[in-house]
Amino acid sequence: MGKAEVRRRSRMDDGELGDAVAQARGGDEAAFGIVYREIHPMLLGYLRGLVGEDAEDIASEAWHDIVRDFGAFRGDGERFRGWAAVIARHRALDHLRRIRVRPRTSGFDERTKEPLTLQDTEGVALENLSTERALTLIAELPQEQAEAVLLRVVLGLNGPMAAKVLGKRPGAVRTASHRGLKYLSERLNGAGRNDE
Amino acid sequence: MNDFREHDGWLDAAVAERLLSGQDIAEADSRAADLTRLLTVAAKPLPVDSAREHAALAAFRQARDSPVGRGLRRRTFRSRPVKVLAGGIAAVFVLGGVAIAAQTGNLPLPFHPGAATSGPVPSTATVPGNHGAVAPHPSGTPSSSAATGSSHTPVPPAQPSLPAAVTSPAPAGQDVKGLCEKYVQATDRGQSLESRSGARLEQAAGGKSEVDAYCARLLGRAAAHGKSPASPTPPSSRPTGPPTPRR
Repeated sequence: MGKAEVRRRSRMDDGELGDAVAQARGGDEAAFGIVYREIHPMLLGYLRGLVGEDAEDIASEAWHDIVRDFGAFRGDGERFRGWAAVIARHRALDHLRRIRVRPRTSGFDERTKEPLTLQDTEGVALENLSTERALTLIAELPQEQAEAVLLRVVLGLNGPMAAKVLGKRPGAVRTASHRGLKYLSERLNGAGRNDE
Repeated sequence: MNDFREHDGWLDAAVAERLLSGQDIAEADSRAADLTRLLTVAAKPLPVDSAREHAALAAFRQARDSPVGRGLRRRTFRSRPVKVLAGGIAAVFVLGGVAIAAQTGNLPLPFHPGAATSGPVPSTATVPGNHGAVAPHPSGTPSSSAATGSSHTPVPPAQPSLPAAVTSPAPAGQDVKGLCEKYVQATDRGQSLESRSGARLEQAAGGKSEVDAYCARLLGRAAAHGKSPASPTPPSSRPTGPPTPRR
């Protein structure tokens, strides 16, 4: 294997996103459309990791809150990503509390069963790994690690912003995300199964 | 857990940080390539559901085009202090009423045994238990209370209104008693109170239909001074009812 290529999908420049956010706050619908198409796929990925199949519904709820509170937001693109993540996260955690009180078949339940099937394979087949599957793998980490990795990788937040979203110290979030990567790597190589 | 140490060989903090921030890593290890691939796939944008996008745009337009909705929200937020103030004023009338009763010796007063003199008595000393939240700082001047209030309360407007309401209960109470006397005299003559006084009395009593009973109780107590000193409940429980908002 040669040099590992990481280049992930191109993200909108923070300044550019910040401009679009400002215009949208001013009432520009086209600008809001740009913001939505930039942010929504990431929010969806993040939520997918948090709530599984219900991600679309929770994302819709989050957008409802976002447009409602748009006027209160101040900041650039990076801050907006973080702000949107906080809103989505609150919605997701509310949702998880609800389904814990009144359990039903949902992404949350499916997620907890998934590791069994994965452990039967020789590691994880990466050739035709779907985004959903990749997110599920991350979601199987302990929640603290899963969230840290999702915020960094899927939402593309920097370390300090991810910590802010989670309401934790940056050092703690950094440690959690690094641990998460290590577990994921073990998992990919089937090492998790031999782990006594 | 020895796997862990093995992984540490290539996946140190610096490499992890580069992976997390989506930067290229100069790492020949196949495990690095695998992990990179996983993260890259996870970060791929999920398809946007156009129906949901339209819904979001509609929500955006609705929020944008209805400043009324936003205004309403703001207004209800602002109206709360007003409500508190109104409640406070009503409570002042009510407490004042209790003060009158106390002053005339109908309430058992540990601090004023048998004191039945004129002049404003700090009625808050006789405040029944359920008004403890408002009453404990009757001597606090409006300025000092307002200062502390605004320094550590999330909703500053609500707090400063309270001291203002609390500091003048006795005069207001005198007012109510006076109003009752006027009311009774007027009724005896077949007249009614001028509207402003009437409205104030109704507010203190908790409604037009309550005024008769309220004043009878207030003045009756005073008249019955010495007859039933150990029944403080009616004056305190009765008037506290009305001004308490139902929600």
